[in-house]
Amino acid sequence: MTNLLELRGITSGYDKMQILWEPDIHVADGECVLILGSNGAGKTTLLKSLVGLLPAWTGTIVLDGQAIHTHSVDQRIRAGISYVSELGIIPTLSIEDNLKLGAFYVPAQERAQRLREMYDQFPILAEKRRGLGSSLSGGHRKVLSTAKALMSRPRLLVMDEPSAGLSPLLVAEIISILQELHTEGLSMIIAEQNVKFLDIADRVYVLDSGRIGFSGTVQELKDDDAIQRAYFGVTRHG
Amino acid sequence: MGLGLSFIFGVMKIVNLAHGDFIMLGAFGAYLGESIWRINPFVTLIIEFIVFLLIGLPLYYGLIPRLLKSRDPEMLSLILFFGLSQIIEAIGTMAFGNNPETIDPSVIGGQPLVIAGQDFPFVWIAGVVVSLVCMVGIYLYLYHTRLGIATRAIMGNREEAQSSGINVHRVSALAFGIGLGLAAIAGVLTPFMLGAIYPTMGVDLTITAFAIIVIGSLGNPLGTILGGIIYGLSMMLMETYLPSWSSMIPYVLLILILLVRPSGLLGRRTRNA
Repeated sequence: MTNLLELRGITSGYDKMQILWEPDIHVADGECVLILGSNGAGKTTLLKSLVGLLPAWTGTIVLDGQAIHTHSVDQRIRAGISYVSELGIIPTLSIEDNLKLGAFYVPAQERAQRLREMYDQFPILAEKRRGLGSSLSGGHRKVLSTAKALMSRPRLLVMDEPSAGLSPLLVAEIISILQELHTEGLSMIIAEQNVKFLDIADRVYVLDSGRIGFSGTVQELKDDDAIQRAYFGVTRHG
Repeated sequence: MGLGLSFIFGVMKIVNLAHGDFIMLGAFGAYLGESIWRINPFVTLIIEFIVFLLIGLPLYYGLIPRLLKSRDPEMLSLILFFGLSQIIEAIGTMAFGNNPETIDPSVIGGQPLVIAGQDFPFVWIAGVVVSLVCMVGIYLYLYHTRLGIATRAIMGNREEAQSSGINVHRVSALAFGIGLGLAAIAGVLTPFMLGAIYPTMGVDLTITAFAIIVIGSLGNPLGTILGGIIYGLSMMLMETYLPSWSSMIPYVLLILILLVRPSGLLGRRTRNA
């Protein structure tokens, strides 16, 4: 598999405080990569640097062979990245407007077609299309944010803590949606602290204080006792 | 008058303290247009809207992106636009002098309208119609155009809008230009509504516009309409019963609303300042 995304030697942070210390990350075409880390590990900073919301101080970001680290956010989105932040939606806009926003650069006719597809895929959004984003429950907001991101038909879906604020039942529902998207071949990079997302990941990076503490497959992570102890407080018995 | 100020605050969360000075420039534009080239004020309205919109674009890119990167853009915007207000006022004084200028109301044409036995000057009716056209125009822009969705997205959450792929500076620059264009439209009508215009009138106009949008809710165009109605009615009542106190109206309303309902009458959590 060829690499769709490569981050090399990225450093970034807020004001003069450095948060990222050159984590090298790559995502192959069709791959689901999980960035695991606790609060303050630098997950959001990493994703914001990837989409351009935070400038990368050093390093390169290459998407499908094209260097994008000097591109603006809208240029990166047009290049095929779709970013779902923790909030993920504009609560003051209607559900339909949120979805339209996801395909901002798509011609009107094409946008209307994609809107119909999203309503078919997520009927709950069709039912409440005129309602404000703020009127949705936490779980439905995540569904809307995912649908909004899919409106641009991205090549790479970037998600920041999709499980934040959700009950275990809703987390399972979101995982099931993402699993389906992964099966369809969508490349994904998901930042999470919930290990349930290991179920859909092909590979994992453990981020610790802005550095990569582990990288490998899900099975390798599960087999690594030191990592399990250090990052997840898990002790294997027997 | 308050619509442009409210629009700019809604999109950028900055207070354009030079708003009244742009109204003043619009007023002198109408004055020059009429006295030199005999241009009908209604034609000036359109010309000035376009010219001020175009002026707003480079002004935005020159001032705002750097301002928004600061730690406290709202506070800094007060200082920056106060400075800009002083500069415009000084340039206006140098260019037009200190003497009040007027435009003969007859150039606007039309007959007074009689409603319930009361004569209403044509210019008042024109003012209402122009205001309504501006409000409808802003509504159509915000709710029926692609850029309008982007503008409302920025009003809702700037970073989220940016991460959706919107070029927030391009959309904000247009909004800033539209805000100045609306100030220019208010300016063209000012000589007919207030009687005389002078280069130092900007501060009073900014305070009035600010009071109007704070009453309704900063950044909320509907609130601006409500604020305008309340301000207008209060002003009329004061001028009828206590004329010598009427100039206090914007200040009194501003203090009252800040004490009773700081988020404005239609405000929820729109205002962060």
